[in-house]
Amino acid sequence: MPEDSETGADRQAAPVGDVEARPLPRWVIPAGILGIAAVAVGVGRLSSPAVSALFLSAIAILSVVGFLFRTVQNVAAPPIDDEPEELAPTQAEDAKRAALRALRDLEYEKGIGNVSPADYAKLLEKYRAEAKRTMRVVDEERKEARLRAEKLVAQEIAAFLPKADEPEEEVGTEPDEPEEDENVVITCPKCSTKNDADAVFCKKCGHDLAKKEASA
Amino acid sequence: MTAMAMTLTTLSSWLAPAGQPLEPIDVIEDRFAGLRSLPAFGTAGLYAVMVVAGLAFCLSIWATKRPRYLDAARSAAYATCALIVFDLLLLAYAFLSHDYRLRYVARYSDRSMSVGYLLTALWGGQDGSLLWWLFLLSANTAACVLWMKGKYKELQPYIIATLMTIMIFFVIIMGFSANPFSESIAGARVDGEGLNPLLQDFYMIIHPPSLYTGFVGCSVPFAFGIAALATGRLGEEWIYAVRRWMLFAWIFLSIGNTLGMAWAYTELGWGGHWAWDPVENAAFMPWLSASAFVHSIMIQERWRMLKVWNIVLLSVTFFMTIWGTFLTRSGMISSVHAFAQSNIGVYFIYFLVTIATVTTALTVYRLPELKNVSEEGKPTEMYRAEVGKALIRVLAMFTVVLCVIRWQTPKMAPVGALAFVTVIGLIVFGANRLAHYFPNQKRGAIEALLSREAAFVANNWILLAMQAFIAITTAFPLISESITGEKITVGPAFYNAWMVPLGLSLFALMGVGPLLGWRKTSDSALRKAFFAPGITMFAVVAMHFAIGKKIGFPAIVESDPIYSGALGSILAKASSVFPVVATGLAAFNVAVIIQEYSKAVLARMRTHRDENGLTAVWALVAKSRRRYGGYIVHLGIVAMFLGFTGGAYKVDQEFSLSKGDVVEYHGYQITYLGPRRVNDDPAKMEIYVDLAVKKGNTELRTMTPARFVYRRQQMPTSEVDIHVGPFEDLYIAPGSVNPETKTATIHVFVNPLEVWIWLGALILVFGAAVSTWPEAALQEVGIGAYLRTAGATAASLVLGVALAITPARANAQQSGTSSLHAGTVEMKSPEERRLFNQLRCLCGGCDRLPLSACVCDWAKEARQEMSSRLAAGESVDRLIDDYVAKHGTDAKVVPPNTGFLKSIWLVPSVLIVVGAVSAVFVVRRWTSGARNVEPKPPRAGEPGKPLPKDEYDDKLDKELRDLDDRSL
Repeated sequence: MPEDSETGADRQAAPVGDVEARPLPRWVIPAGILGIAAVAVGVGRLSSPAVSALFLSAIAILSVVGFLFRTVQNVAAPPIDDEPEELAPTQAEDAKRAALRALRDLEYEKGIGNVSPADYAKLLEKYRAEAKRTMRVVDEERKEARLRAEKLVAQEIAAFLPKADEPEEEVGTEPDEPEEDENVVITCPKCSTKNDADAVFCKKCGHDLAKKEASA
Repeated sequence: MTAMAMTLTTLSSWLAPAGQPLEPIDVIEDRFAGLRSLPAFGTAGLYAVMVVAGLAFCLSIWATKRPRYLDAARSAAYATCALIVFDLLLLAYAFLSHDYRLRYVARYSDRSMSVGYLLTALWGGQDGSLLWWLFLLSANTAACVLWMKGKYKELQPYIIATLMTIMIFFVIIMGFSANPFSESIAGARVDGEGLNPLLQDFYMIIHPPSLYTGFVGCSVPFAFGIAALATGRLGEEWIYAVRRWMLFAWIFLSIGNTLGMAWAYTELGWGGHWAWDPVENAAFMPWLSASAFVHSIMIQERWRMLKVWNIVLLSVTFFMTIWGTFLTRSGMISSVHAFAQSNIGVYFIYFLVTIATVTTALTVYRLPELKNVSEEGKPTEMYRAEVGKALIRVLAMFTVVLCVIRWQTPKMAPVGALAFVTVIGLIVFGANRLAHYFPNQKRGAIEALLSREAAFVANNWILLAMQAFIAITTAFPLISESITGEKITVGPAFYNAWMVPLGLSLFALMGVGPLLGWRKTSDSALRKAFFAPGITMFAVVAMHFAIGKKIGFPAIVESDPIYSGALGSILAKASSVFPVVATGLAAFNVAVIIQEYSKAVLARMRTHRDENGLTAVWALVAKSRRRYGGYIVHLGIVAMFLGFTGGAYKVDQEFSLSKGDVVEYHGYQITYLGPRRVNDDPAKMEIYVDLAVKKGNTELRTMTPARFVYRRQQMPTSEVDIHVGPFEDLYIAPGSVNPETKTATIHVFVNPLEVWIWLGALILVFGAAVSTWPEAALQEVGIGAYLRTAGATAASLVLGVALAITPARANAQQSGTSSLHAGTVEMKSPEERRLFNQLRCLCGGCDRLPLSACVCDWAKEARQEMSSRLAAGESVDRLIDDYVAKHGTDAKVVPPNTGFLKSIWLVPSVLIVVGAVSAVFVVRRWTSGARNVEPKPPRAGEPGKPLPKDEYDDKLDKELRDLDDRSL
C-alpha cells in the first residue's frame, strides 16, 4: 500500500493494511481459478495426475496462508467507525409484508376462481385494513428516525448555504474560509466518504483525492 | 473453452482403465523420497484445521459484540475451508502416487485401478469419507460465507460459529479416531488391497457424494436457524435466506436416495430397489422433515405462525443427518452398508446430545419472541406460561411412551392406563386452558378449516408421522435389546406392511392440498375444484377393476399377513388394495395438477390478451416459480408412486438351462445361447451368459447377465442385465455357470412400471430446480449478476442431474465376507415364499437378508429342510415357530407381535394419533375466532359501505405493485 506511507496525517486516518484499498478487477478471481485449473490439467497430461494433485494442494496451502494473513490484517486494523447495524425487521414490518402477501394471494385465488366474489370483497376489505394498519404502525415506528434524518439533512444543507445573518464574520479577509475549514468536506468520488478539505487521500478507500482536485 | 475441452479429455483419459504394469520396488522407494513426510504433513493438516476452525469460531464469537472483527472471522473461515481442501488434495495425491505407507490408501486401492476409481476410493472407506464429508461442508461453508458478504451482518457471526463447530466436531473424530493419514504399522506395502468390487460401480461412485451433499446442505440452514435464535431476529428474514439453501439440500437428498435405489436395483441382484435397510432409512428421514419444512415455512411467511415448529423441523432435519451418519458409521445396527465398525460412535452421541441440548435451550430461551409476545404485552407471565406449556408437552410425550411400553407388562397395566388417561387429559385441558388465559396464538387468523394452511398442517403431520415411525422402528432393535435383552430384526416385510397406509395418506393429501386456496375456499369453488379430479379418479378406478386383470394389472393383489390375527389381516387388506388405491390417487393427483395449471393459464390469458397458451405457461411459471415448480415436483412423486405400485405385480422364477434350452416366461421367450468367457480386464475374469430374448414375435436383444471373478479378492460377483421398457423391465440375474457342462441357472424377474420410478425422480429434480431458480430479474440486477446467480444454480443442478442420468454398466456387487449372490434362490410355491420372506438367514455374512433372498449355502440348506417339511404337510406357522425356537427371536424378519414387542408399532401409532389430535387443535384454534367473530371494520362506518379512502390506500397500492412475486 504505497499510499499509506505518503503523509503522516493520512496514516492515522487510513486503515492500515486495508486489503480492499484497491479492489481487484472482477475478472481476476475467475481468471485465476481457470488459469490454475489449466495448469493443473497441463501438468496432469505432461507428467501424471498425482503431480497435478500435488500442485493443487500447494495452491491450497498458499491460499490458506493468504487467508490467515488477511485474518491477522483484519484483526490488527485500527478501529474504524463500525458501520451502522442492520436493524432487524420489526414485528410490524413482518406483519405488513404478511398482509401484503395476503392481498396478493387473494388476487391470485380470485383470478383462478377459488374465492367467490362475496368472500373476495369481505376478505379484501379485511386485509386492506390490516395492511394499512400495519403500514401506519411501521410509519409510527420510523417516525423518530425519519425526524432525525430530516434534521441531519437540514443541517447539511444549512452548512452549504451562505449565511446572511452573520455580519461580524464578514470583517475578516476571506469570509467563508473558517467555515470551510470546519465544515466543508471533500466527498470521495469513489466511496463517497467525507474527507477533510485538505485530505490528499480518502481516509476510507485511499483514493487519490489530490489528483482529482488538481484536475477539477 | 480450450481449458474445458482439455479438462474433459484429461478426465476421460483418467477414467479409462489403467492396467499399467507394476513399477519395480526401487522406483516406488524413489518416488517416496520426495514426500517422506506426507503422512505427518496430512495429520498436521488435520490438527491445523482444528486450530484454524477454533480461531474462526473465537473470532466470530468476538464479532458478535464488535462487528469490526467480522471480516477477520470471515477470512479465518475461508482459511479453514482452504485447509480442508488442502488435506483432501494431499490424500488424493497419496492415492494417485500409490503411497501405501498410509493404511487407508493400502486398504482401499491397488495399482491396477484407474484414476477415476482411485479418486472414488477417497470416500470408499470410513476415514476418507469423513474427510470427504468435511470437504463438502467446507465447500458449502465457503459458498455461504461468500454469499453473505455485506448481508445478514448480525446473523453472520453466529452462522460462522455454528458451521465451525460442526467442522471441529468432524475433524476431532478424524484426528483422534479415524485419521486417513495414519501409517500402517507394518510399513509400506508393494501393492494395496484394492477397492471392494462392490464399490467399483458407477452408482456407487456418485451415490454417496450426492447424498452427502444433501446431508451437508442441511448445515447452512441449521446455522441460520441457530443464528436467528441466538440474535432473536426470528422474523421472516432468516426464513427468506434459508429457503433456497434448504431446497438445494432437498434436491440432493432426493437425487442421493434415488441413486441409492438405482444402485440396489442394478447391483444387488434381488430385483428390488428399496429394502428398508437402516442406512436407507437414515437417508430417507432427513428428506421427510426437509419436505415438511419447505411446506411449513410458507405458513410462517404468510401468518408469522409456526415459528417454533419451523425451528424444530430444521433442527430435526439436521439432527437426522448426523444421526444418519452415526448409524452408517458406527455399525450399531447391522445393515448391508455395515462399514468398518469402530469406536467413533461415542463422539457422535456426544455431538447429537449437544445439538439437541443447544437447540432446545435456545428455543426455550426465545419462546417469548417466537410467540410474538411483545406485541401482546405481559412478557414475563407469558414466558412462564409458554415454558410451562412446553414442559407439559414434553413430559406428556415421555409419559405416553412410557405408558405404552409399561402397558405390556400385566402388573403395571392399570397404572399405565391411568397415567395414560391423565396425560391425555393434561394435554387436552391443561395446555389449552393456559392458552385461553394467555391468548397469544393468532386466534382467528384463518378464515376456514378448508384452506391451504390446514392442508399444510396435515402434510406436516403425515410427513412427521412417517419420520417418527421409521425413526422408532429403525432404532427399536437397540431399544428392545437394552430393555429386554431380546434381539430382534425389523425387516422389509414389516415396513412394507406398515408404510402402505401412511404412504397412501401422504399421496391423498398431496392431491387435496393444491385444491384448497389460501385462507378460504368458497364452497362452490371447492365443489368445482374437486369435480374433475374426482371424476377422473373414479373413472380410472372403475377402469382398473374392469380391464386391469386382462392386461396383467389386477386391481387387488392379495398379500400375506405379517401377523396372525386381526391386525395382520387388516394390514394385509391395506396392502392388497394398494394397487387400486394408488392408481386412483395417481389419477386424482395428475388431474389436480393439470387443472391447477390450466386454471391459472386461462386466468392469465384473460388478463394478458397478447399471450398464447405456451407463453402464458412460461410467464406463469417464471412469475411464481415456487408454486408451479412445486406442482412439477408433485408430478414426479406421482410417477414414482406408479413405479412403486408396479412392485405389487412383480413376478420372478428361477430356471436351470443347458445350452440351446428355450424357456417361456410371462410372454418372453428366452433362449440360452451358451456361456462366453472374456479375459480383457487384468483385474477380473468375466463369464457372460448369453440369452436371446424374444417378446411375442419381436426379437428384443441378446441379454448378457454375467459372473465376474475378481482375481485379487477371489470374489465372484454377478452382474444383472436389465431390459428396460415403459411397462415392465425384464431383469435377469445370473446364478451359477458350470464351465464344463455349460449349464447355467438364471433368475428372471419381471418388474412392471419400474422405469417410472427413475422418470419420476428426474421430473422431481426438474421441478425442484424450477423452484430453486433465482428470482432475480435480468432487468433489475444487470447481466453480470444475473449470469452469476443463474450460472451457479445451473452448474450445481446440471452436475447433479448429469450424474444421475448418465447410463453406466454395473460392475460388481459382492461384499467381501459373505457369499452373497453367489447362487440363486429356489422357491416353488406361494407358501414357501411366504415362509422364506419371514425368516432371516443366519449365515453371519449377509446381515439382514431374508431366506427368500440370500443365496448362501446355509440358506440353501435351511430352505431345503423346510421345503421337505412343508411338503410333508406341516404348516407355515409351525415351521416359523420352530425356526424361531431354534435360532432366537431375531431370526424372524418381522418382530413377533407379543408383549413388549408390540410397542414397536404401538408407540409410533400413539404418537401419530396424538400428532393428528394436536394438528386438529392447532387448525381449530386458528380458525375458531374467525368463524365466531365477524371481523370488525377498524373504523366506525356503515356496514357494507366501503371504508373512506385515505393516503394509505395509494401507498398500499404502490407497495402491492412493488411486491415481487417471489413470495407466492
